[in-house]
Amino acid sequence: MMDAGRHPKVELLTDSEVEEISGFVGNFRARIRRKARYVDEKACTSCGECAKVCPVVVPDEYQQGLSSRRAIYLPFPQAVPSSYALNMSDCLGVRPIACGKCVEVCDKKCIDLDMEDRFLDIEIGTIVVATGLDVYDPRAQDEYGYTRFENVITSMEFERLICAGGPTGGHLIRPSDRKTPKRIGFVQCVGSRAPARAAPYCSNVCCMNTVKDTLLISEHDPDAVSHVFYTDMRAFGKGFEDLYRRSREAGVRYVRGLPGHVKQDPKTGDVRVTVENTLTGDLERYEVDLLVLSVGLVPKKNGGNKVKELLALSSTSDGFLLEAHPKLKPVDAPTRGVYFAGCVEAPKDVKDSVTQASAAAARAGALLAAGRVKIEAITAEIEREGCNFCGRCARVCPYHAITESDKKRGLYPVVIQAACAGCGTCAAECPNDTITMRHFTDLQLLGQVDAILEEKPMEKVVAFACNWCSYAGGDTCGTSRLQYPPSVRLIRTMCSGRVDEDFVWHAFEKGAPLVLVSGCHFSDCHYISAVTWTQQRVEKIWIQMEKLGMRPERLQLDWISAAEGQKFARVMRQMDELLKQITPEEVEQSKKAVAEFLRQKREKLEKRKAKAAEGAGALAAAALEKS
Amino acid sequence: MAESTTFYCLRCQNRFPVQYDPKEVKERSCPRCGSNSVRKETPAAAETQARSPSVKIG
Ligand code: SF4
Ligand SMILES: [Zn+2]
Repeated sequence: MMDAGRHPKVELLTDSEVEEISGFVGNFRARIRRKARYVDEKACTSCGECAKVCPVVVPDEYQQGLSSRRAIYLPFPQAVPSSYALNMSDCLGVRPIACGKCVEVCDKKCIDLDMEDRFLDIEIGTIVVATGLDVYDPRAQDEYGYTRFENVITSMEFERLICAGGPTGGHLIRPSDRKTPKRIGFVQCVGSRAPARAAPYCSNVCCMNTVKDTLLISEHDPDAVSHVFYTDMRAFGKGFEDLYRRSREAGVRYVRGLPGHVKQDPKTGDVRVTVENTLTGDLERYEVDLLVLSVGLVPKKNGGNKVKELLALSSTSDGFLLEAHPKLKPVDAPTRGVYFAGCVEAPKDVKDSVTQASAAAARAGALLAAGRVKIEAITAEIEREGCNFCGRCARVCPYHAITESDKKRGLYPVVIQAACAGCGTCAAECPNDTITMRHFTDLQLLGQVDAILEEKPMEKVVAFACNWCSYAGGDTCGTSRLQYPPSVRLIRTMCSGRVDEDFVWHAFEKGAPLVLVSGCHFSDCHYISAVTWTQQRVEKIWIQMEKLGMRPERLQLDWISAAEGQKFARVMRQMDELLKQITPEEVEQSKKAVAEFLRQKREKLEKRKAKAAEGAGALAAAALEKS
Repeated sequence: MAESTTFYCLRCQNRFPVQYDPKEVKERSCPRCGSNSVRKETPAAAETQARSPSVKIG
């Protein structure tokens, strides 16, 4: 932190909040609120005279409330900038000034009670999101008695108690009587791996943190005995198994089972723990002087959602931010030019956080050093002609790469080319067919459908396959020398999101007995959430097929990953089997029904386009008049 | 709010209950054949099914 504070090319904006972000990779603009600190951070020498006279005493958040601070305080010893700050919500008041003692004693005159929040507008090329996490509040698991029993504390509180910079100077005491505990218990997985009650995931760091704490205890006091109550100990990192072994050798007792009951003796302050040892099946009772709850990590509440909204990011079901790709782009956000570092993306320890932060800095640095970004050749383009400002394209774009349209102001939607990833969802969803997908145009794809069905259509399955997963699954199938029937004919699109419903209808109109739409599994989608639009579109077509008297079974949907060569072959064999059950009569019948349906659809589209053209003419005339 | 709804598979015709929330778009598959061609059973869907001999795998 100090190095970052001193670096000539790093400007640290502490006590600040991002209010707005606009733009795209290389051209972001941010509005930052610099909160009033009430102390001139450049002039303050941290002499501490102000805190000595401040009459307000509040719990010190940094010390987990185990000691107190004043309303004017140094947040923590190595704080950067090394300057005091006044917390206005703790101060007795400045309008009118109720106390003002700190101002009086400050020789340097660096306290300014009239200071106000300032706003800073900056231009930035890339963004690294490193907003961190929160820890689980164990009060929700009342059986452990946290806050009901003084000698039940969290691992965060333990950390402060055993730290040399902590409120006791590193001397471990227990809260009830300030005695040095000789028997310490640790309860693992508090708030983690409990889908029904807390977080379903493993918090990654708690096991090793406890192992480290037990070693610290035995270093501080070789006579102290530690008991660890666990589900299973996870020591998978470099050197971690060794640390775990050392802890066992130091006499730490590991008991497999989580306490079902905890009680503190009101007289002695000792904590009684009842636990079922799942290795022996026995119900065991332990008495400890101090019980430490190894609390899990949870996504950041305050601020986390705001960052998510500002940068149009999504999160996984557990609440952590979703990366662009779990294997290929683990530090990139789906929004180009945005990267993740640390626990904002998933719970991780210091080493992993530093590794990810270094990778994020390198990714951002490489982009900035290049001075320009390579954009996809396959991007969308909106033609104004026919656009009726419905806004559907901007709503469905997973990258927020399309600007909002506004009919009143005559603002047409525009694709920001640097932000477009080329999934084609907008082109497929545009009800007016005004979006062209470069290199995957309607004409190109319909041409392929025509070519497939030109001869012996009854023997063909028209299969749309996305480039990254299902088409790649076909490659895996081939390289594994698995066979699949030649009746299946693949049409590659970058994403299944590109498969316009018109392509499916066109295939049926041309006599396709069976159509397959295939893409990535939801968790693998190369284009964030584009695949969800595919599913919704297919569901819509199924309903329409029913209305036209067609069996919806003739449109199949499957998610196949690049690694699923076997699944690819199996699905294609199933398609071949289904194909044999479709009769020429029903295909002929549906051809007519679909042709009529498409005729009506085209008629409606023409009308809409004509109306849009009228509107555009009126807008142009109004603009001309204005100018 | 998720509620228990019957889904059916457009590949093997299997019918199965799922917790369904119309607001939530999520990946679903048939517990019998693994296909993702599954959809909510509606009266219209049931009617089409009854009217025509279904294509069926397995
Ligand atoms: S192609 Fe995909 S990424 Fe590009 S603008 Fe359209 S929806 Fe957005
Ligand atoms: Zn099935």
